[in-house]
Amino acid sequence: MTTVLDRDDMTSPDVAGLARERWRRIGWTVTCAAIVLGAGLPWLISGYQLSQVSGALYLSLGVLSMNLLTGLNGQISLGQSAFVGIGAYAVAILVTDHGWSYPAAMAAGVVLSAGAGVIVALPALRLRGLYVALTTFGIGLVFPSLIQKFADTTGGTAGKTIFPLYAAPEAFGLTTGEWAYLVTLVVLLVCLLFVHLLKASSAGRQIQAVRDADVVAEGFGVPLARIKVATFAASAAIAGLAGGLFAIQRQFVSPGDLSLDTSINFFVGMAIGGSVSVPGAVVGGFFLQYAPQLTQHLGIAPIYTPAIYGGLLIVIIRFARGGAAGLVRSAIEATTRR
Amino acid sequence: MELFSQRLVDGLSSGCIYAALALAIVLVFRATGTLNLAQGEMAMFCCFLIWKLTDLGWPLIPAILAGVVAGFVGGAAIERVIIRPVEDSRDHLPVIIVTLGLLLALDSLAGGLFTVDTETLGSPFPSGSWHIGQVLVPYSSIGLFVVISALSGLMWFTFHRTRLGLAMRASVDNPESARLLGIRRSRMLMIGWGAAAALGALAAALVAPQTYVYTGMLQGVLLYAFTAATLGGFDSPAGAVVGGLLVGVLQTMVSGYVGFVGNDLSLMTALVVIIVVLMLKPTGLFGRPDSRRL
Repeated sequence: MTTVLDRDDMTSPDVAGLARERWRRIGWTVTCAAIVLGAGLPWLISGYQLSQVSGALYLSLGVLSMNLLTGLNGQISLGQSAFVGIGAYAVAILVTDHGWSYPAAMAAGVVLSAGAGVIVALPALRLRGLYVALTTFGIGLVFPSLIQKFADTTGGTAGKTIFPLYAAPEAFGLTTGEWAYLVTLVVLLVCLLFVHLLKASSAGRQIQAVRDADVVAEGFGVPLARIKVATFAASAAIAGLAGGLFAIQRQFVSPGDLSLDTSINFFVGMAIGGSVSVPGAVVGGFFLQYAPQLTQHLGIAPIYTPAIYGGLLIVIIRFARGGAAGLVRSAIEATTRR
Repeated sequence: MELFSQRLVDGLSSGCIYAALALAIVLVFRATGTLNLAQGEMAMFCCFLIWKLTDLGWPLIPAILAGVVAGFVGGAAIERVIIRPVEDSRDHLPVIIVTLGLLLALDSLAGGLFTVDTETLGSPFPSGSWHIGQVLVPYSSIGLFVVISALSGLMWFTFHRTRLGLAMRASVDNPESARLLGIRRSRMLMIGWGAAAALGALAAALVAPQTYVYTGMLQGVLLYAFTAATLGGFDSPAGAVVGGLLVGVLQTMVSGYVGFVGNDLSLMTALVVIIVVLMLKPTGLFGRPDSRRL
């Protein structure tokens, strides 16, 4: 919004436009390089390191689901861990107990998560965002107790080991870990592209209009309820997909990984990367994966890691709402203006 | 019948706790128009402080009073230093996110500064029970009920019969006109947060003999309190108390009589109540309808 005025008094639009075009090209080059590097990673690093990167990619997808819901649509979900959990347990139960194939079980998990998302979004619709925060807070809190209640099928607190292993097609000659990594990478890239394209589409503009000025948007004929429910369902579906990937990476699921804290961590990841930025989701995912190791490396007791997250969340909301992506953007704008 | 009466009494006494925390939530909602997700964590932190003081040899009642005062000061300070800079009467998202950050931070700091173990705290009320036929009514429940009723009465009186309360209501309902009348909204917010934190500290100290003192002691209770506030209406102190008692009774009855739910799914009961209330009567029993402005 501010760029129009800023540009006029600084320099001619052409120069700024050219500079911006150059930055856009740099952005795409970095993206392509990252994809190539990502695809080659199984042959570059150890299996253990790869499993950590896999974890970061799963977390990125979880953060992306928050970007879509909170960043673009302005709804708060504190129950994202439950949607991830639905996706993860769908894979664990359908594959282990019912002999489904992994892709079919993941697809079922996505459908179930999206359905649960619709059920959650509907009652909160008539009211302000406050109530979505409330119901999803409840869902995040209740989910682990549901897992315990149905311990016969879910394995309860002890968790559930998934069997048979998720094996790569034999022709590829890859280990399960490498195969799970590559699948995660491809799924994440597809989802990133989806949200990126959605942002600029007319549906994406409606989603953002609901966030910025719901009453005005409604006046312009944006179907408020339908947009909110659809966004919630899409976000839950992405979270469910993340859960499926989590399941194939670990070959094990337990409620401890899917508590309210997980939801809050996704929130932190979103804020760190930048709530409206698609690449920001990846930054957030890698942050969540590596920050605990980093703080421990710096000699901070692990018990204080959440305090650091909380402090960061507060600082970001106050000083840098755009997160990492926002900082990069302002840096670029500062250089293009000259 | 005796079992039913006993469950009713048990339900009412846990309801008192939900009511107390719901009152704190309502107080923040009325003062700032938003939810404080860290309300339970703030109370838990104060409770650890109270426990620490008794551990250092303080008698219980002065320790609780000190904890309540610390709650007021801490709550007001948090509002001033952390909440106010992001406060925006049109967009509640930033404040909610910041309270989420507070939740994380307080939870982790309480574990780090005090202990990650489970500790015990005594009750300020005499032990033992009053026998009505076969039904046992613990003195602690009676004490709790009296304290909570008195507090909600005080809150209602403050909001509806004092200049301070009028100023607080005005600065939420219509911030700009209130400011034109010389009401210092910022001070109202600080008082609201302080009072809510003090109330939370008291609630935590009173519930601690049953839940014990640990970092997660109020997580479940907070959900019941949110349920109580939803049921009673987010802007009504009386509603918070009635809602709290109803939720307490409902939870005990459902857990007691519906075998499938039992104790495992009692949090689920709370969630179902929230969803049903939002679908049927979103303003709650005593709340006022919400209006939207451009």
